[in-house]
Amino acid sequence: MRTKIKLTRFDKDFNKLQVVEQPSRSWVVGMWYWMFCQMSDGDLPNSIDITNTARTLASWQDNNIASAWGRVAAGGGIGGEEDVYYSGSQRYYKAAAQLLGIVVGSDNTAATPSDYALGTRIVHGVGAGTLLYGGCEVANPAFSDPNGEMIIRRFFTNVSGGNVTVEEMGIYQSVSGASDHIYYFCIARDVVAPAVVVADTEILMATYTMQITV
Amino acid sequence: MNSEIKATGAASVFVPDHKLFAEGELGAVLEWEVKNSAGVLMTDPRTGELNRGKKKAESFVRQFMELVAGIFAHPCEAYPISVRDTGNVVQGVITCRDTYTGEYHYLFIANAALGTTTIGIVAGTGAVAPTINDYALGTLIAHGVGAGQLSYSAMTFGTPAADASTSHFTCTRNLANNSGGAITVNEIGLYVKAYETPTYTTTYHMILRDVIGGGINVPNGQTLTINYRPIATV
Repeated sequence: MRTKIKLTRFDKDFNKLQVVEQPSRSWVVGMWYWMFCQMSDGDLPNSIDITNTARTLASWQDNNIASAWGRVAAGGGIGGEEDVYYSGSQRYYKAAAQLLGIVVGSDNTAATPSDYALGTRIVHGVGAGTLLYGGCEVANPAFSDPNGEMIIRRFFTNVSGGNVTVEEMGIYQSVSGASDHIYYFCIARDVVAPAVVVADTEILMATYTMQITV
Repeated sequence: MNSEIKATGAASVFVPDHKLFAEGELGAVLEWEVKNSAGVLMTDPRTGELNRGKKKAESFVRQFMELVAGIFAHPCEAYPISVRDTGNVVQGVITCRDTYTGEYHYLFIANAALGTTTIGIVAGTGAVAPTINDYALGTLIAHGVGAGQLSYSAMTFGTPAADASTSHFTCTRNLANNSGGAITVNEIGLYVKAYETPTYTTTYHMILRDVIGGGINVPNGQTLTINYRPIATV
């Protein structure tokens, strides 16, 4: 499977200003942790400990109440933090929207297979150096023999009052972990070259396009 | 007839994996070898060469991408992902129910028990070239000790790991031939288990299918070990 990444910069009226497109090089080991857990039907006591994006060991498991196992699709904004909440006897997870899906950052250190997070993730916000995170979409795949394609996409808006420079992008997943908490794992990280400078009021569209060919 | 599977462990590595893939590519390595009951790598009686092979798995089929989309999008009942099963029926696959049931469902379960051929690595005799729309092996070799049958072991999985240029993990299955005659394996696939709406039952899907040129000869009394190793290169 080949993957392309694309960063498209628009002005506030959605006039296209810049496109940076390149092959994605960097599905990292986190991709295989979730696949391993899925295939081996990982559950206690067979869960495994891996490094999450906060660089702490988290037990990656299915505890039968997870509502976000391996999810990439996300709403916009901050969302909840790593926690659960209750409604009557029902228990739900609140995923932090800016901590899953496509994320962007400002570090240009070369990617390695063992990367567990972006170098420096740009956080959601309106202050200096931040971007507003839109929702992260996962489109239904499309197929035309011998090819198949799937797109993951997210919009970011700069209302920080100054320039924000994007030099890396990646994909974070949310999964259930020990003590009924949600954890976030990096499954892809790419350095973007050239860097994309998003000026105040501009909009950035980040896209991963996954392609298989038989 | 003794159907015990005696060969153990994963097939040995004899070609660097990263040589099979381009930078940034995500795929799988398919490797196989045939051993006798003492665990000794045998020669192929057709060629006189060691009976083993290794190649880039060519054929992630559409169900793979559809189930990845299912994991990423986290579909509940209102928005199931349509995925064709191994019986050629399109199923509405979901990860959870809209009404809370305390359940969450994986979509890639492949941890087959001994003798199970609905999930895990499976082998067949079909030799038709793969297409992206393939939903099952051409002709699955059944589990058993009768003519034309192989004894399927339980699936095993190696823990994911990363080195300087790749990340990967390995799925392994042993198929013992106690059928009384030689069997030629022409195709290898990977079946997984998911979950559907509206009847909330298990579904089975093929995500990988590879055809082996010339086939793999498995003489009676010998065991075929198959590894699928999902891998990503940086």
